[in-house]
Amino acid sequence: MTATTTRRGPGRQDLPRQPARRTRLASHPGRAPAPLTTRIAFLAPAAVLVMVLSLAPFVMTVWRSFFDDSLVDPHFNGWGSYARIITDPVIVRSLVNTFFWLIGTVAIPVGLGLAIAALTNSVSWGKYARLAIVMPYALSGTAVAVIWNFILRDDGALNGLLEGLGLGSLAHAWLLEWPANTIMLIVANSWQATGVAVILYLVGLQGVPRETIEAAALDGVAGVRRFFYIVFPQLRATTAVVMGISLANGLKSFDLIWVLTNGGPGRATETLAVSMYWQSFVLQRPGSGAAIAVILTVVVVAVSVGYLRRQLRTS
Amino acid sequence: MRRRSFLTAAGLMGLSAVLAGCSPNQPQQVSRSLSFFNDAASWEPGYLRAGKALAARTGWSLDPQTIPNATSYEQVMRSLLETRNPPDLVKWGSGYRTQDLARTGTLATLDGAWKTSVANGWLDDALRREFTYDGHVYGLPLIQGFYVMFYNTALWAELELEPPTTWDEFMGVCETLKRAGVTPIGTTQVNIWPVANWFSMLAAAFDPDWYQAACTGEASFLDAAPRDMMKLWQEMIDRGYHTSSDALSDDFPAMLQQRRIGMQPTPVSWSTQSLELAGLSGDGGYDAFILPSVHGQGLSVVTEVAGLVVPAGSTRLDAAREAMSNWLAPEVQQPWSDFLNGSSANQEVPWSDPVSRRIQKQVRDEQVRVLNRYWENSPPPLVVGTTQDLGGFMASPTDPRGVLESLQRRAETEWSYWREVTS
Repeated sequence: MTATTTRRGPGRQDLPRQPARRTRLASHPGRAPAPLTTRIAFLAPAAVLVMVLSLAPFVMTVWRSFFDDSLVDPHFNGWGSYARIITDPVIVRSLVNTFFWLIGTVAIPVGLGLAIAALTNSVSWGKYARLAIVMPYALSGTAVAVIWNFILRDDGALNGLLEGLGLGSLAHAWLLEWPANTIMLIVANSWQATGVAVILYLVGLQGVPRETIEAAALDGVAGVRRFFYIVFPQLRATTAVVMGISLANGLKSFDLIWVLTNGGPGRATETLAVSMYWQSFVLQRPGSGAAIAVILTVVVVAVSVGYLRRQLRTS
Repeated sequence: MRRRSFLTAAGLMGLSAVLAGCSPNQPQQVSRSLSFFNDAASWEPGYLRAGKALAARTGWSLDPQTIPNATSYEQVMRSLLETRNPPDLVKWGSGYRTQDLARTGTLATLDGAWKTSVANGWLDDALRREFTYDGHVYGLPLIQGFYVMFYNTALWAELELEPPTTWDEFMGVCETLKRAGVTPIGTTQVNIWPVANWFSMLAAAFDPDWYQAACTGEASFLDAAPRDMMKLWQEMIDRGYHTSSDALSDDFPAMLQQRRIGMQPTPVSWSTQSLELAGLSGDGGYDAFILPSVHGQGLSVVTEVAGLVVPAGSTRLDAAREAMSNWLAPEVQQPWSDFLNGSSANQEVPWSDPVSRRIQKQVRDEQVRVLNRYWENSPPPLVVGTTQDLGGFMASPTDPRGVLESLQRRAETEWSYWREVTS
């Protein structure tokens, strides 16, 4: 309670709204508030861009999803495309894969990023370890897919290593069997994505006041307990950002899957984003593609709003 | 400069750049080359040589631009065809692939070019159906090849293997190679379309009548023939006769040269170029045979015919049509065919590679039944779905019956859809 009061400033809640506004404006003496038309004029370009580039295509996509798959002269189809999609086992698996991605791309970068940042923050050789972890973040998804293809193919580096170590019995067709192939794709993605989590957590760790850590040390709290009871709670804002980024990355995952497996074999590694691409552009099924896009949007919005509301409420 | 002035100036500059980008085409310098989009980057020297010969006849050469990924290429072309400035010429598949594009109204008719080519004796009119939709011709052949099994002659000589003439002999060859530590056949499901190649060859060897009927929607994937064929395929995979399904088809020529695979199913004549680049000499380093019939009912061979189509929106439509009228002329086809070791659809233009020439002669002399590759032989969405399912089967060959049921369900839906949109 004390901390909250300190952050907001003493007595601010008790001030009436109008005087508070005057106080802010007073910092720019002589500048009158801009007229409403000017403010609208400044806002208009951004609003128009959002409407034209984002909202209008979204509305058109929703509208198109209610028509059939004809390229020329499509007919109104009601919920037909949705009904076909949700009963298509491939799309159902695609939905399952999307949730795998959601869980994997949140848990792994957050867990690994936090662990690596915490473990390398205060050791002398930490910067080299961090460099190795962060470097993949500079690569494109396509490059990552090419690298991991060399590793995961049946005659690839991983199986070669296992056989070289006398562990040939553990060699596996990593990209060919579901759900192992989806899990390996998530691992490959995490290899790249963990770098940004490490960077963000390192920044967060720099912001933890030394006084709290010294106070904890004086109280005899050390090691893992000190980290989880003292440090980690102060990284809450960082964790929120890392999770938010990971959520978005997980739901929009496309390039790595497309290059590494094309969604195969047998469409086993598709996520909703890949399924949408297949239906819309490869199979030339605009109605079905639009319906998947709408379903994906609903999932993304539901997850994002749920997450943000929780974050906003608790902070 | 004050901040507001700077922002205003920057905004105006950006706005003018956007407006310039959106404005109609500015008058351009007249080019005497036709923009030609294709998906085979390594063929560019051949396109340029053919274009040079074409320019000598028409004044128009070729300006090849490549998108080397087959799937991306299709998406980009379909999008470009809808624009107001599409390419002048496009490499495209024949059969249902051409029909699928023609039905959207984005292709120009080439009836005149076809008629001229046939009248000059450059083109077999029997190929017309591969480029016809709704009574009009929409393409001319760019290449024609036959799918055969290539092998490394030195390896086969060491193992005392001979080109098989029966299916039992073929399986014997596979077994010998396997025992020698060589994976017998290079196949893969990566990039999807290679699945269609082996499926076409196996189905044509197993039961060509069923294959052709299935391709036109007149036979079921649940018939006895496909059930038995899938059992055979499953047995071959289980015995280790095929490469892992995540192998890359681009690696197969080198794998053949390095004796890591024993055979590569791929077309004469243009595949010989890759084999030569991999270090196998065209003079006895590799050879090829037509896959024997499983039930001994006579040889069948799978052909691939790719074509050239002209977008209806081409800004140089007349020039593109004129180029197409001259495309199959012998002096244009000869440099093109020489580059690829063969493949010209003009039967008067000899194929240069001896193996390819022998296969071409065998097909003609023995009247080998010629069947279209599956990729071009059914409606594209059905083909893509089928190859995806079969790719899954190649990766995990545990449920052939389930795969066939899925194929049949899709076939019923897609054929119904195709007939509805093309009727």
